[in-house]
Amino acid sequence: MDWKKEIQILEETLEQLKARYADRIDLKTLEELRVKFLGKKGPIKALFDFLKIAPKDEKRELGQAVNRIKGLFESWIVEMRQSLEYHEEEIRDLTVPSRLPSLGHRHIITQTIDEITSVFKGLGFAIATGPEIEQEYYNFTALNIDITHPSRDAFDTFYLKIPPDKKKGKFLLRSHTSPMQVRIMEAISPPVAAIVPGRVYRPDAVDASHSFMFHQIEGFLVDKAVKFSHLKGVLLEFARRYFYEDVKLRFRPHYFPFTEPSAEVDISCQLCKGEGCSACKQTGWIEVLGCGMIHPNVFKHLPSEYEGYTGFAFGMGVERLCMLKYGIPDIRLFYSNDLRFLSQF
Amino acid sequence: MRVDIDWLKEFVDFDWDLVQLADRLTMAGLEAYYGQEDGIGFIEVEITSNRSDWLSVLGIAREIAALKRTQISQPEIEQIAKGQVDYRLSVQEDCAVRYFGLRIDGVKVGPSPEWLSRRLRAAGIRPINNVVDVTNYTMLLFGQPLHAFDFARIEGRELLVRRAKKGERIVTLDGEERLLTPSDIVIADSNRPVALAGIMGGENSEVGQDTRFILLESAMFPRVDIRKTRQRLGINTEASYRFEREIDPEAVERACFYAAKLISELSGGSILGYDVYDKYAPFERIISFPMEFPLEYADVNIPLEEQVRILTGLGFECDVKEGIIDVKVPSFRQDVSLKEDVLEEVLRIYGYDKIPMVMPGIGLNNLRGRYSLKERLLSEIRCKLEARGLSEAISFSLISEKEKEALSLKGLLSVENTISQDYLFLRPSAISGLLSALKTNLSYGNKYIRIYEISQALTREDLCVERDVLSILVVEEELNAAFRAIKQIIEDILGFTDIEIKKAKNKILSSFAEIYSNNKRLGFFGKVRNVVLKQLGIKTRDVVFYLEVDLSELLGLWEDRKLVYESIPLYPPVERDISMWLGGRTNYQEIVDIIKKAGGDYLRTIELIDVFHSPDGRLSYAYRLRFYHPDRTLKEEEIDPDFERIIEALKDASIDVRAV
Repeated sequence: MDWKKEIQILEETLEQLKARYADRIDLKTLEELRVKFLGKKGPIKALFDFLKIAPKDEKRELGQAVNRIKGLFESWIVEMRQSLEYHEEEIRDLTVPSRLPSLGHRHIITQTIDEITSVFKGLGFAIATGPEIEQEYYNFTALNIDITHPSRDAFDTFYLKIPPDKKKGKFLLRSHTSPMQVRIMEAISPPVAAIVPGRVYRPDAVDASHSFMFHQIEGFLVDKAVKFSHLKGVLLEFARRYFYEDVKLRFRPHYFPFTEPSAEVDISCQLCKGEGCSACKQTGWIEVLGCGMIHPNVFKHLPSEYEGYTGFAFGMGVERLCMLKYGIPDIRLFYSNDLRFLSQF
Repeated sequence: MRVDIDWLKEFVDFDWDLVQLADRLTMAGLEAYYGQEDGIGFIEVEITSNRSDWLSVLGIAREIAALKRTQISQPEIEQIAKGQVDYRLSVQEDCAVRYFGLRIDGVKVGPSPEWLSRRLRAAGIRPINNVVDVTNYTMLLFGQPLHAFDFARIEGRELLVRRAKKGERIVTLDGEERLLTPSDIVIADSNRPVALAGIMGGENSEVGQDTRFILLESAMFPRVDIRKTRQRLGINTEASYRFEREIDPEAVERACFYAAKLISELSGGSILGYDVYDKYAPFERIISFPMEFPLEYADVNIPLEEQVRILTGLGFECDVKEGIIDVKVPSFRQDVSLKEDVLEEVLRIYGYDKIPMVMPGIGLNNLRGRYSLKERLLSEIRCKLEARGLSEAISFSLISEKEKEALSLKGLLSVENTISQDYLFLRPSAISGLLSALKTNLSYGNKYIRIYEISQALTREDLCVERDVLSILVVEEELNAAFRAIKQIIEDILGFTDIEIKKAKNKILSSFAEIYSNNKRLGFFGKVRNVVLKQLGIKTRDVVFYLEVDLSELLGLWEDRKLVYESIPLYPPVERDISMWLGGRTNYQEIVDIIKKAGGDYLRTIELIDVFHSPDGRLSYAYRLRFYHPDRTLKEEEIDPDFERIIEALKDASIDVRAV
């Protein structure tokens, strides 16, 4: 018997089997193959039989070869049997779309408000909201806005067609969220740190960059010895968390009737790092909010327990920040409620 | 306002280029842009509403002077003797604070020299002639509007500053005829108005080519009246813009003399003298400003001399004693009245960028409680709705007459000064907004329309009160599917409390029902009637369901809710299914109640597992009942008596049990 040839054939056969059944084998075929090659009538058994009668000088070499080939067949069978146990149906097409309807989407304005307010919550501010129907007293007078002065032009307001209140004046749709400074401080003792998001109204015709209804976020902090430097610190911390880590702030002096000193705040443009690009109109800076130290005349309208306290306040337009951050070109998209817009965020 | 650099340089010395100048001014609070025209640089500034003094070359120059820690040089002004005038000036009470009427004779009206015309053009003012141009030039320099009358056309040799008479008319220099009311102030001769005070001159006394005799007006009018007339007539002029923001009362005289001198120089006239009405009490205000204030209020240590130099540059006089600067406020800076105002002046010129950034140690915040509960409730509701596939809409809170009618909304508040007929009424909820969103989405062919909005109820009952309303709109192909979708949402958000749903009638919604909890009305829902959809121009064959929940009521319940742990059965249940035909008016809940009542101690859950509509129109419900024992596994036969009792009870209630 040319056992070397026999072994070689077996090795080749095993390779062919491995190739042929690489993907899949069924249990029955595997069993048949096991019986065929490892069974009592199989070629390996025949080789073991030959080993008993083989010439003495070949025995050692033959023994090793036969055992090796037997081992190879056995381990292949075990391996195939295991792969059969783990075999299950698999998804053929992973690119198939998910089931409908999918999750609903929170409005990007609400998401922005959530994001901004949560930054301030982390800094110790508490969230409050207030009525959209306001009175002249809270919207103007208590905030040191002289109704006869042109500075009021910036706060054009929807007045309601109902008789005014004797003490607090005409009813109106609030033109900013600042009235809540006074409302909150009338109700709550110092110290207080509040962040007030909400809808505000100004009689502007609706176009790509104007809307008669939009959202503002007001924030203020009143405590003993609050300073301008604290205002800068808090806003920097906010900007780092909300805009980007290495953002720079620029405080430009400005005028608001309810703060003194007042400032407008620009952030360094993230796109061009201050070099100037189309997003920042080549200036390197983008205006994001207005702020200042709460005006002493505002404190005059507060309960006497606020004597000796100082504070700062700031306000920002939510739509504007949203448009900047996501490149939204038209303010009307926010109120269209087109699901193709809503579901982008 | 736009101004040539060379004009500024007549009064203040600086070496900055245009870019630096614009940047320094902007960073001091005077927003400035720069440019060049005819090879001469200019800057254009945008003022804030409190700083009318910036509406002048001298005002801008002062700003630059303070930034350079220097002072401006004043324009040369020659005093003019009052002399004798050939007309009579009278001013009615409250019509002017100061009024100078100066006479010049023998002028030769012609074009202005190029240097003057150019400066006017640079400022966006059209040159007219050497008299009118001087008034404008002087206005740009001092911020004091002036007016020149053709004296020959003033009738009766009389000038009267008075309230307009009812029905009086004037044709202003722009050719428009203006109907006046007694709230307007006019300058009149013995017969008629010749100028609308502080706003625009009249055609009937306009200076023209043939004018020889001039009456030059320099005055200060009450700003509120000028503003009212300007707003009512809708005229905006360089003069009214300055008057309504307050001018420098002390510049009235100086500007008058300066202009008179320049007119006589350029047109060869001779100054006769002037008459004056003067009720101006010299402005005096001294503010005590502690030199430590910048450190106390802004954490910035500015040397005393530096503070003084800044304030002096801006035109404040400073008197320092023992750490206090007594700051004398000039007449052109009456916006400064508190030490905080002075601080802003010091800080903005010193540089806001030099103020450090410090995190405050926030004391115990007293604002807490209800607000944070509300925030949590809203956030929970939002999450649940979004999980059910609802997207959030934000729609306008003002609605049109058409929406109001279609939705039968009554007693709505409306706005006085509307911008459009589409936005007239304040809405009580967002139903109008969601229907309008539905229309939008249908028009784009969008599928799976499920939206919600949280908005304030803007109603008469809620003046200055915050009452939040949740509005939900769900579109489904079929009525029952829509109802069950809405019901699922109701259970999601109201599941924490016992609710009762009561059928009722409604004009807008069919299948209408109201939701109550402890006799409080929490909300309502129903299918939006086709007739309503049609009225609003919404075309769909689908079923549109609307749900509204009063979130403020809900918040109260949510606040009071008690979450108490209930033990979970440890042993497996025995299950029994039972199905029955629903006769008459019996509903799901009644059957559950009967089963519960008869069920015994082990019955824990009752679940609807099948609804079957038979071909002959009958309806069958199948329930699955689960029985548990708290301490051990129940044997099947142990619940036989309980189950028998349930079947008996159903039969007693004449319910046709189909199968068990």
